[in-house]
Amino acid sequence: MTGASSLGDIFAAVMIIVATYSAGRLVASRLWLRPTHVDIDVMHVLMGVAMAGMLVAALNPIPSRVWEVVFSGLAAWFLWRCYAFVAEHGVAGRDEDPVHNLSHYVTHVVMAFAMLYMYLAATAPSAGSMSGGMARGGGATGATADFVGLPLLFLMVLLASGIWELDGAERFALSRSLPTERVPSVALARANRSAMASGGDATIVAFRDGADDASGSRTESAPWLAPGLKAASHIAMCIIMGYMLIVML
Amino acid sequence: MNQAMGVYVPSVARTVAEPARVWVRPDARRALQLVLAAIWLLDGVLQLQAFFFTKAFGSQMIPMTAPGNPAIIARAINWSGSMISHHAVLADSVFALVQVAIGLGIAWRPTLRIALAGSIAWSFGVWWMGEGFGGVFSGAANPVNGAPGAVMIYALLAVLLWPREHAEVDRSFPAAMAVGARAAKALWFVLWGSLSYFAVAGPNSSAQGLHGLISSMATGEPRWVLWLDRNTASLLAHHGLAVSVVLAVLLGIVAVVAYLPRRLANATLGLGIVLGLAFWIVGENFGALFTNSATDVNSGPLLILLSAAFWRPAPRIDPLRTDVAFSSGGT
Repeated sequence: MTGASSLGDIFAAVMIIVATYSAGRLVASRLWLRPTHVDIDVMHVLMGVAMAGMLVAALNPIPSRVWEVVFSGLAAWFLWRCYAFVAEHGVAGRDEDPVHNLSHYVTHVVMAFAMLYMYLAATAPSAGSMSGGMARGGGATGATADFVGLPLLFLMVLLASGIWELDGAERFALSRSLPTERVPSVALARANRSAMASGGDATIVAFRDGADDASGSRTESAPWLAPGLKAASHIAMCIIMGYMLIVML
Repeated sequence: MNQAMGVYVPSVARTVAEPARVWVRPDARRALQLVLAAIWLLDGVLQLQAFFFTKAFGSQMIPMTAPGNPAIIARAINWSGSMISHHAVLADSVFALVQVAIGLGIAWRPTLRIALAGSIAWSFGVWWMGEGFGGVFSGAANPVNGAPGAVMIYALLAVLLWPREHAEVDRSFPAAMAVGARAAKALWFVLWGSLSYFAVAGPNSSAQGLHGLISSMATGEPRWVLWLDRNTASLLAHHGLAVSVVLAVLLGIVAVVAYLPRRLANATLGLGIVLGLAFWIVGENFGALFTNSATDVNSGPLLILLSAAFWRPAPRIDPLRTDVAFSSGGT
């Protein structure tokens, strides 16, 4: 077993863990009445399964054509979510989830398009077969793939997203540790000014208390479901998808 | 949909009393650190490409940097190449893990310092064992194709972006915050001054030097990059000396940027960014990212990042203090 094929197996295992965990989140959020982004968890389940199938062909449960339809639908959904977010919160606004903003949805649009790209590039006539999995040499590579600008853009966005998510890890600790209060916008502005005075450009995070988000999950004052683990899943997906895109460059 | 607005904040008094609990938006220096982290992460992922798990990485790619170097340097390069080729999978796994760890370590605030320190040590090792000091001692260094080595600029960035915090920190520009404006400017001058020197050193000033350099970059590239290389090389044919001299002058101008007044310095920094971009596209073929054998992004993006670290913001008045938060950035 070569290093590259072992790597494909390891990454496939990580993706299955992420998919299983994300499926578990969907169940746990219902059982424990904890808010979560349902659409993003669903996407992580589907991407985890699909990426594991791309890395190790034997793990692919359905044909590529079906995946293309699935990720086209997800791309359209998250484009709609971007539009709805901007309409409701503006470009710089915060999500119901107090640590995310528009970039969260843009990243998932890019992820959906990156998955589509990988399926389409890998099934193109000039590209190699995916039957052996990407790590074993499938997919478009090197000089055969002249259309490299788009995957490079996807790659940059994914890695930037992973890094940004990790940089913001302290925000998850903040949202867990601080009590929830109803504070009017004037008080929020005052809190922001005070925080800036104490240590720079502080961001006081906000969320809509008791609102139903677009995906139907209830955002009560209960803490969001394991935001740190969700971020870890996202970072793992960004890195592994980045690897898959590089293999296809 | 319920429109009631709540916030995850304690009282104002608690926010002030526990500032450490408040997530602070990245300032200019932190943003640059995050870009550096993303580049390290990309390097780590690049290291996972299939080629690097083969013996060819250690037996062919690494020893290419040895010829022309002093014996003591060449021996170390050949030794490391031999070790890597004999333990290709293990060695490459370690290389990739280290680079991914550095990238994630810089991004995660609690491990920032240890990751930056690790990146300096790692960069020096790679500059020696993997890149033969970028051809500095062999006379093969040419800034157009990334010499004297991207890893050296990684280390320089780690030093300049070090998270030093105390009351007397010089906030003229992000790179000055760690080592002070004077030392930062000196480091900038040494780097760009050396690039200027290498542009005309040795074979680089020959009539066909740049033509040969760019022609040799074509292996494994997509068709449109080949087209770019072919046309650039033909433009430079027999004009190597003139182009190299112009390049050396431009690089020399960038070298003194740090000592210019703020407005002029910022305008001239744009020249450094353009040169970095030009090197990356023409001489480095986008870091050879499309060949499935690139180990890093090469020097172009790092020169651009370094230039951004020397960008001097306009002075602004801090409403909480009577003095100026950012100096005017004069010499």
